[in-house]
Amino acid sequence: MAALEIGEKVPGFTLPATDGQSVEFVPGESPAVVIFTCNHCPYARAWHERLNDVARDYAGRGVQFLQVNSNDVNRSPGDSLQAMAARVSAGEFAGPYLHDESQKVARDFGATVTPDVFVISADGDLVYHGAPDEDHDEPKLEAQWLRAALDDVLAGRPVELASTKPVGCTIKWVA
Amino acid sequence: MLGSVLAELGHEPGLVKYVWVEDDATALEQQFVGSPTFRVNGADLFPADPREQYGLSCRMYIRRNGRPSPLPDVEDLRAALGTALLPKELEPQPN
Repeated sequence: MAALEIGEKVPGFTLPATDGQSVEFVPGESPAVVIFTCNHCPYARAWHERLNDVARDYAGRGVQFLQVNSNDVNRSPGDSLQAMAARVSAGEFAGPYLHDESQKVARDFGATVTPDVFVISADGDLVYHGAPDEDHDEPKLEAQWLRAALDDVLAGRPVELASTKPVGCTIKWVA
Repeated sequence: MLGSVLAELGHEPGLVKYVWVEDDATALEQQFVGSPTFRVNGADLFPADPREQYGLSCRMYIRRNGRPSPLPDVEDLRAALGTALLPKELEPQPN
């Protein structure tokens, strides 16, 4: 399963959020960030606040921000829909937290770990793929790689740093 | 981190045995709740929630500053090892 290449058109999808409502991602409607994350991974949790700060900071600038949990609940019970909903109810998410139960969206994007960050241009092209910033353990970095990519996209510039190595726990695939 | 903490406590890094858990069967056999797990004489230095399922997973530790981490806080590790391991001078000596 290969990850999407920079410059490649990304696939759209429709997934349920924790309230049962379907959320649709249509590439080409606006710039967007799709983050594969989960409840149980220490890297995802360490970067979580930074990522949701980005979601809040860029919401007013027309960026759609979607966080997707693709982990198999049988291998990772902590990633159940109920556990996801509890975190949303607790106010931990700045936007929808989507459940990719079939894992199809993760496969379509070539996501491998949590968190795995994909930035999509308003044309529907993948323009950044990788980690939020250099160090999960340094909050002061403020997801600077993700912010820089978004700033480039919103300014109409080519993304200067288009690819970094995503860091995190492996997505828990169905056995 | 483990090696340096052991050295600080006066123990040899060679004391450490690494066990690779690469499949679900081994995880079940080892009662393994995630990586890394630190055991001394079979006892987990950081006992997991009993509801945790055995399997191939990452463990989430909470550092002393409250941040989630893939590794324990070095101070917690030092304290746990210090409690679990006898000081070198108190180890039984050969006759």
